[in-house]
Amino acid sequence: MNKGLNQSPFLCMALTMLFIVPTHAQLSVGFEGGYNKNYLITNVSNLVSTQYNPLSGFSFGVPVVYQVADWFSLKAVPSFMQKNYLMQRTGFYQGVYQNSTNGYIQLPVMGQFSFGGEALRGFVDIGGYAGYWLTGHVKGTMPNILNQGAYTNTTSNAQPNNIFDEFTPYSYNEKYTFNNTKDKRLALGVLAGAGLSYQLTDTYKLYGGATYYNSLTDLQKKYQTGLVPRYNTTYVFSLGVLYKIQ
Amino acid sequence: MRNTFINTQNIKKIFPALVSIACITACHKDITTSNQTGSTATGNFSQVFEDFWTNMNNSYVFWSVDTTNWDNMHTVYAPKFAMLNLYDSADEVTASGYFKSMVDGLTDSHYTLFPDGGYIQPAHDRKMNNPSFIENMFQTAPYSPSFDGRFYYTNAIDSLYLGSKVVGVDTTSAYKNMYAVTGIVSNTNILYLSFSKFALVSEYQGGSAKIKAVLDSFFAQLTNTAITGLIIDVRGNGGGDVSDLNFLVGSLISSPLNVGYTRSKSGNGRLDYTPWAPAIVTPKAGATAFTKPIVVLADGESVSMAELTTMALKQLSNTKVVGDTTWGANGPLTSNSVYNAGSFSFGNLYTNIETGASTYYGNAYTSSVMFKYMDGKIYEGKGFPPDYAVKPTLKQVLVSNTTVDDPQLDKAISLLR
Repeated sequence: MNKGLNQSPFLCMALTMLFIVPTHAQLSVGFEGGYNKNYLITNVSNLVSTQYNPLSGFSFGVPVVYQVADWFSLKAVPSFMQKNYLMQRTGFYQGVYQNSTNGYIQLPVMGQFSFGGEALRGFVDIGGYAGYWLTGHVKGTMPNILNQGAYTNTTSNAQPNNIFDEFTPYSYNEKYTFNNTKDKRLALGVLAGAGLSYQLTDTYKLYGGATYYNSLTDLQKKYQTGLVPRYNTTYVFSLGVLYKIQ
Repeated sequence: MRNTFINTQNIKKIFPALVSIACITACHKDITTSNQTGSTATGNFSQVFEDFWTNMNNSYVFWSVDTTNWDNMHTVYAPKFAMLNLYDSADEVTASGYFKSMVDGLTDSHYTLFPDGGYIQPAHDRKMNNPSFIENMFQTAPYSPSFDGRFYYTNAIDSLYLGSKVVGVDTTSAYKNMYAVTGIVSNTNILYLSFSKFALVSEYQGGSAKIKAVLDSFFAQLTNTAITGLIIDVRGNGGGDVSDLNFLVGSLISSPLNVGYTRSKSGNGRLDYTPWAPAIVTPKAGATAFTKPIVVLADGESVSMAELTTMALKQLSNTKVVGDTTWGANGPLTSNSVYNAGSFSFGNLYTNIETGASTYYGNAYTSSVMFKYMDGKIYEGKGFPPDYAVKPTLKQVLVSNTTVDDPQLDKAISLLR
């Protein structure tokens, strides 16, 4: 991982803050929810017929927006976000898979830069987040070497087309048990987003947009030499409403 | 100006933010990993070592219970291997010693390393240093079964303990010869079965007619109402095919029997594991439960499937185990690609361009899954203990034994009388 590149967004953010001139502060709160797609970024090229694919999930949160200038606000969104992914095997091993459903509580903090008219405005978000891996659930199917079918007194020369012609499948759907040695549950990352907002009334504002969450922390503690890192990268599409309280 | 959506002045203000977004989305994570098992081209000892270390790291399934400090092995031995020449015969001997030191403490008691044609079996080496291990108790005892496949302490059983009996020997068996005997213990109605390895299904379906006759006789006697108990003797049995579990134990039960759990690797990390899958013995079609008392005779030379069979039968309420603690290798094996775990080749030295065959520096024979018994314990590297510990005697283990002296079998019989 290139640390220099990963640290640069924070530098840009800090430089940006120097230009802020508070003019008319406003405080708004609201609710937002949305759909996301999470990618596990890792490398399993050494594993036979094995790949990771993204899975969709949902997120919701309570945005708190402090408008510093007409073009700039500070925004925090205490939220719950799923970051799901799929491990699946291909070819002869087709059918072996595991869906990992992970729940995070997160606190994204960002600067929101807006532009446009009074009612309809565009915005871009830039910031960082801290999260905690709260829940895990795994659902999948794998070969079960010690659960062979009943003995039959016949021999067969049928060729297997799939791993489950040779092994009994075992399907599971269970809570993921965290391993304190392995699992790093604290997640830190950066985010960037863009969207549109519409001032519905003097107090209500609707908005929608897309946000890119890029984790900078490995999902694993450095418990061994030669660890292949794993990062979550999440694209969130959300809709929300803000209520001006001050 | 404020009513226009595109506001040049505001765009200038948010320009730093746009730059930041570009920075964030450009964040690049450079993640590398090893090549597929056995595919890493190696030209020197450093590369052979790295390939071995990485494959062990990724494919070995006992890291959660193993006390070997694998990181430290890299720290210590990477510079040592770097000093060696792959094509220097003296260095090859040195390397073999390094490999032995690296794997000496591994929990996996199937584990066998074949470096450059050599042979390193840590569990066996450890047992040979244990004074109470059966092979060390009697220095005159041979290790390997005799020519007909009998293990030394079952040598005299068929002639000295059994009345009516059926004996089968297959001298054409692929891996060592196979010996099997069943019969009724003299002056009792106790059914006895012993066999030298788990190749029962293959022998029954297409192997020796003599072995099949033994098994047919055994299965027929299971339904004999006069039988008062059963002894299954897996002492000295080195294991074999996992399909024999349903063939043998499945003939003694009428409903599926949960005997434990298995798990394998789910990724490259040492602690990346699949969930635990239940280990189930499935009854044979039409089998009726054998409800009379059963004694399993097992000892320190009962390995792998012999241990799994012992543990499976122990799950029946009518079973006791007599003898000694088993070897301690009960994680089944299959090819690496099934779970991306277990046995592997390392150090791909070259590939024959005509045949496509690769030549490796070595191979590691190791379990594909970890087995956890129903009591929640993992007996890998420890062995499964008997209910009644009875040590063998010198006469019992002598090949030339012609006298009745098998206190383990005597104990089994006494429990079933």
